Amino acid sequence: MTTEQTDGAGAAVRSLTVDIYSRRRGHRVGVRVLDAVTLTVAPCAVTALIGESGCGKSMVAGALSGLLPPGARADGRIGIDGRDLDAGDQQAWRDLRGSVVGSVPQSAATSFTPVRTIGDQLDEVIGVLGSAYTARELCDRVRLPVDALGKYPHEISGGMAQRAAVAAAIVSDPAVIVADEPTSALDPELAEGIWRLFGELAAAGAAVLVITHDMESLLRCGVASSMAVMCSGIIVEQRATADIERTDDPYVRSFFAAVS
Amino acid sequence: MTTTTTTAATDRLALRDGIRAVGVGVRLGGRTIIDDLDLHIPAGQFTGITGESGTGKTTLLRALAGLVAHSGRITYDGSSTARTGALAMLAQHPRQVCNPRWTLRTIITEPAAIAGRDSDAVALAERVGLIPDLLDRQPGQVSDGQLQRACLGRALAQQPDYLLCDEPTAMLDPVAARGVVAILAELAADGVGIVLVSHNLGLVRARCAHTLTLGRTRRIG
Repeated sequence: MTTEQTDGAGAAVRSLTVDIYSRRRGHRVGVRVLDAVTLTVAPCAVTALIGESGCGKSMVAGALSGLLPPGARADGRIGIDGRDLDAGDQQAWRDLRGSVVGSVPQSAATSFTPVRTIGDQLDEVIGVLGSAYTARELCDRVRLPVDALGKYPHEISGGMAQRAAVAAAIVSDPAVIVADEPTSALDPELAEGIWRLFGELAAAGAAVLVITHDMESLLRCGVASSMAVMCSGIIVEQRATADIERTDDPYVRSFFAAVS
Repeated sequence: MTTTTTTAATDRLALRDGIRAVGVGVRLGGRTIIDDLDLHIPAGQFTGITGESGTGKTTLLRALAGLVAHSGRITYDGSSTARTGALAMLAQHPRQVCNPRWTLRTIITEPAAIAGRDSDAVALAERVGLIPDLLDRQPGQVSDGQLQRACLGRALAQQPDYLLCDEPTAMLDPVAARGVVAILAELAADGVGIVLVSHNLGLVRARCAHTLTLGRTRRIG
């Protein structure tokens, strides 16, 4: 295990490169999906990662959770709450996942085991990681109706699955939270509730990275203090949310002009 | 000539009754999800379905698509069964509806292949804003947004009469989302009835002549 203690809280991605290999017509073919990505997710703050569909945002989330897809090869270092990790060291990530890094996957509905109820699965996470909260209290935090606990994943809506996934990610009050499109299936009121919850978790000390296309709702809540913009596997800009549109980077300027 | 064609197209649309749901109810796991719901989805128009998370929007789409048992009556252009290929559905979670072992090329061209038609995967990919280089990748090698666009390409290949869209833009950046909505508008202009389930109320208001808002276990408007 190549984990070293460092002083930096939050998360810091340094020169992360990810290639995905697959077999095509008998040949091993690699595609570079992240190229020398450097990103800071400060503690006590919410950082937003935005960019076009397919630019590599979810791959950054996967790298920060140690959940890269099969065939991925990662090079680079990632600092997580004072530990310095090799991005490709799966054992090191297994030790941190859930307890130090809480992850909300983009496809929340498929992240649960289909043959067990939501409550059963939340109880298991609570039992393994330990928690200051019961499953019912976690439901209250994410505004998930308590009767969802007795349902199987296919019996609840996409929005409920998304809130259940947020509940599972915050079971142990992790130091770092990575949320990939956590509000894509939620109505505007519930979406703002989730953004505010992340704001509260950040205020309590967590470093929160949110990936979203729903900038309007996120900006309205005013919880994201920093924003990073990705393009084709590269972070092209990261700065304070209030200053992001004052950048000199032509891509970021054109991106905001296009989405506004 | 243009006027004649447009009139003919309008006449063809007028002959189609659309999808009509009368007294439709769905119970899942002993709980009423949809209760005594009436709905008309005209051909060649957008029909919006909105409502809080968990109020049955996806279940209603699945009932319209015949994917979940329901009470009441649903007719498709006057018939109790839709013709093969008449309904296409754009699912909320594209990974749940794509074979993970297939390439995007196979996924996109499958409906046309089943119908015995040729389809141009590259042209369909370009139409939905998908880089053709991605056609030889499997779902696990592309983003959710890219896979969502491949699913739209698959729906276009099917040439449906009605397209049931469940949050079609939720995983897309705003520019890509505008592109997808423009494609849906083109389909509607060609006579396809579009059902748009979305939390994006601005989009629903801008596009949909009729909107159904679902509440807890009953229709509220």
